[in-house]
Amino acid sequence: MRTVSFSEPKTSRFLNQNFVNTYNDTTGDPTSGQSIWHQPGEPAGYCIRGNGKQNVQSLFLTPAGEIFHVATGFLSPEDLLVEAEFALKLFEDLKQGRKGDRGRVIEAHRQRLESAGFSKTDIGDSNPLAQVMGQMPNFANGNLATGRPVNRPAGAGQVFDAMIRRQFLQDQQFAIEHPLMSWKQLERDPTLLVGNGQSFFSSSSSGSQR
Amino acid sequence: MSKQQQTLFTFLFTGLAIGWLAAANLLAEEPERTWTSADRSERIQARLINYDRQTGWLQLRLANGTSRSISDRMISSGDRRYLGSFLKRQSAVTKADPSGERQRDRRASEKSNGQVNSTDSRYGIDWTPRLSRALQQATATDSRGDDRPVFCFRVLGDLTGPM
Repeated sequence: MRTVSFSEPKTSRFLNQNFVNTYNDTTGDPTSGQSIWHQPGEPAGYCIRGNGKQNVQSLFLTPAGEIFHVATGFLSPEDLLVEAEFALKLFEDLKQGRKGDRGRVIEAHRQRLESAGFSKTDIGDSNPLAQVMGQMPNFANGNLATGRPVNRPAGAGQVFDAMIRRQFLQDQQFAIEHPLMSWKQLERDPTLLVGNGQSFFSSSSSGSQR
Repeated sequence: MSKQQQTLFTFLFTGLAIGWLAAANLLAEEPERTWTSADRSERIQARLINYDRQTGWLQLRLANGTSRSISDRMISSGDRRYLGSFLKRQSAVTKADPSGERQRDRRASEKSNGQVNSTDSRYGIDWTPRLSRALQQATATDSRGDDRPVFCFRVLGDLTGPM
């Protein structure tokens, strides 16, 4: 993400103008998965949204350290911008309302899922079917939140779509189930966000980075 | 004031002025120039803001005011020569202005001790080291209540090095 998504001027300008940006190295955290190490100057490999969920997570927090939105795994510059735009709008809504309004966080994420075509049953906190890959409704090829087209490997549409949809759903469900969770609580138990599975992530490219 | 004192004062003042002008010239902004990709397929007009030789990343300011970070592996050999001359000029500034170097050392020391709210620009993003400090910075310090949200990139590895 550092060589592709953050380096995109439109995305970085939006983040710099509207957010205080920080990073947190999770090395040593048993939930953080594994990956092949890359130098900063290495060409970026191809990734789809949500790749490396245990390696990278984008968190959006209030100044009080409450997490009000998350997006796990790789995000393209366009996806990162969409997530940041959603987060900023929600943050402005939270500022207008009463302090610690968890209901607004839940409602915003429910509405987002419904707009993306998920049924109320899918969104339900305890629906086991919603966790199963491929059980989601069939979406058009595009960004879930905006409907804008996204680049995918040729012929990979349905498999990737199902994975992306599942992860998108899980990210919104995290905010619905844990609205305004303290970042300290997440640091104590990251499995609430990334689960307790073991993962390995790698990407490679023979092309050039942006 | 005697004539001898006047002459001495004039010499001293002229020397200081020349030194100041030389340092100001060295510290001036880099000029806007054309940067070419290594395969020569792309060209952009931009001004060099910073170059970190250790990580190989350079930060450019485009004509429209936006900044862009790119790796020195992705630019032409001519651009890399320009980076070499930029580093030489920076080194000359340090020699000409050792007090500036001391100041930078002090800032680095303050930064490591958590005494200042500094940001570190990498890959186009202005990063505030440590989440706790970012939360402090995001909290409104005036009566307008102009809080800002925090974006935290939780990542396996060091953002500034191999990951």
